[in-house]
Amino acid sequence: MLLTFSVGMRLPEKLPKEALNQLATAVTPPQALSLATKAANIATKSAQNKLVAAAA
Amino acid sequence: MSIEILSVSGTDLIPGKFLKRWQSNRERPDEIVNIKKAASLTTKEQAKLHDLQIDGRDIGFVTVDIHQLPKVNPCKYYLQVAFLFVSKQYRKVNLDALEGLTASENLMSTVFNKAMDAAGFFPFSNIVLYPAGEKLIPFYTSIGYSMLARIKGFMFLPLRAEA
Repeated sequence: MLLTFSVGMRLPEKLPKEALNQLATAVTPPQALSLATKAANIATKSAQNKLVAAAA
Repeated sequence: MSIEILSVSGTDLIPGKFLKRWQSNRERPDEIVNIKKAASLTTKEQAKLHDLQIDGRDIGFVTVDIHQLPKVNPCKYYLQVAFLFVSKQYRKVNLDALEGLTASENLMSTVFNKAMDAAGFFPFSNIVLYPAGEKLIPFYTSIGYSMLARIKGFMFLPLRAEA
């Protein structure tokens, strides 16, 4: 059961060792990288379309 | 088709004006409270708010802020997703304009890309968030977030390439 969500909830001041270790050593999983590449390509295409439209 | 991520600030964050841009779930009054809180955080310059627009239409927004990791030496920071919101009619919809991504996937990937860019000159190590409900955990897991050990509810995404 999660706590009641509140905008801007922050990590506690004291973090357990296990959590600190995760934050210090874990690597970006591949699905995050592929999704980010897709989003970056969408943004690039949209910017290019804008330039083409402005030049036309 | 124009897809833009715009930083919202100043008078655009006045509650009445800002709320009009979004369609929330009427059965969830907390959504309006959270939208107002996100705008308020941004107005106080405690956060940045990025709005996803497609052809000038507001689709959703994400609010992020930066915090220092407590008691870590040398100093490290994390980027916190304070609030993610997508207007009701675009939720869970794979949008053609986003090449099949949902608005949430696009907004969260934009946050990741911005954080990775910033990590080149700022000691960011992770993105952290607290899901607004248990139902959202599978979504965040699907885009790469993991639960933090022994801290109930918090999830993280490392900004670190494999060695």
